[in-house]
Amino acid sequence: VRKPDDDDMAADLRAMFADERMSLPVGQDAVSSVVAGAGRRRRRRTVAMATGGALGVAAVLLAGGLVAGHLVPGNPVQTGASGGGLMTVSQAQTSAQSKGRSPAQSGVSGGPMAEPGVLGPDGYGDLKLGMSLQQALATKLVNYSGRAINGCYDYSYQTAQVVRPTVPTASTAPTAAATAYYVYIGAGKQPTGVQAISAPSGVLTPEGIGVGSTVTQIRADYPNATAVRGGTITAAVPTDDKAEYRFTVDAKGTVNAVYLSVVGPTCLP
Amino acid sequence: MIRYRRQQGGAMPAPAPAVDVPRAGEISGDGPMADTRDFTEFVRAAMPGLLRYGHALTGNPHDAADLVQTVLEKIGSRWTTVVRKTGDPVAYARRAMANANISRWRRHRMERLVADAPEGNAVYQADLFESEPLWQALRELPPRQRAVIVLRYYDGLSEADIAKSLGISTGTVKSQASKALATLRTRRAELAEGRPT
Repeated sequence: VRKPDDDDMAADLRAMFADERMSLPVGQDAVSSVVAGAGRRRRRRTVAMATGGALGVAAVLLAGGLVAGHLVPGNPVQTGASGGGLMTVSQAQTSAQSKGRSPAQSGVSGGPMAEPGVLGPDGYGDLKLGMSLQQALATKLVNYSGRAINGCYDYSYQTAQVVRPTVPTASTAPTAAATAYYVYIGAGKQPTGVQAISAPSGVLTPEGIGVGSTVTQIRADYPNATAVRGGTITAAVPTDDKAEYRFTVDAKGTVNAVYLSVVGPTCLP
Repeated sequence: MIRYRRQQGGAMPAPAPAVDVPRAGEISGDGPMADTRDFTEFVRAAMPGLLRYGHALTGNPHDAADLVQTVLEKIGSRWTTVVRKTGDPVAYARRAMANANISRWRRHRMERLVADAPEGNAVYQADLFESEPLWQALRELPPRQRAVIVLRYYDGLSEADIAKSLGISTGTVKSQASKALATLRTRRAELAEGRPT
């Protein structure tokens, strides 16, 4: 119940905000200064992306059902390897993440992904959310990692530099740049098509969030972002109510992985 | 199911450097020059309103100019994307400002940085509200409470919309708003009576 006081206060606040004195004069060079600053930022980002490297650890989650067995003959489909409630991250992923956007990765840029660019709003490069497995493989961007959990198959990005075996076994220790490993939380449903795409290192969302960004930056760029729950913060893709960005963050609120995902139950944690 | 763009040629490998097919809503022939022109126009038109909004959010002309500059630069560096995806860059800029002001305060609160607002972007005048008790009281609020007040009484947003904009729960909006109103009431009375801060 509002006290009458509150209504008075509300009226006073509205009056103050509507007051002419709230306006500020626009400086002479204000417009050109903003335009110049925007250009500087764009160039800086382009450089950062070019040197940050498009390669590295990333994974694409595909739900293909039996189709995967057809398309990747000889690949044993290992189901339920570690389904369960735990969210764990393999060493491979952790070590890659800890590098972040370090210049150390700059040496391996220039792979087949001509445009390191951007994750989102609908995919990464040719790879789009909702694509069938055949279409995803046809992009030549992904490799099967040999694992299937909770109805999703785990794919990793191909790169020119790192030619990975396409049929690793569950016991194969992941090589440093091979795959990101996840343990998926069961969703109960069987999704189909590309369910989630993780950002290769150095790749940002269109709004500029990537590994190393902070929760406060996420909030600034995605005003609708959710609260952090279970180490994950989710933000709707501004133009697509069927897709969302999911950021996993560490205890300090720093992003350590970025996904573009379909909304709803997926095989993502 | 999720919409997706069919790759031409089915199983054929897509040619490597993907030339993007123009997306729906994207005007073809819309080059970087046109983008810059559009953005310049946008800044010119939106600047007065955003400065005013920034004034309410930050509580002083200096920080308002700095906040507007930072947020608009970011938007301009991704102009095409922002336009395509938000449809309303002014609303987007306002939300970004509210959030950026909160996070900036969080960053700076430990460091107590001297403001390094770019000079020459705005003609700073003495704050005409300087002697208003309500204005002074508002300025003393922590930025998130201030943002809630501004979004509520400047933008006229509902509690649910404020929650969405700031990425907090409606419960937090409620508690922040009532805390803020209580403080405003007390402080305004104190300031009006000339009691020490």
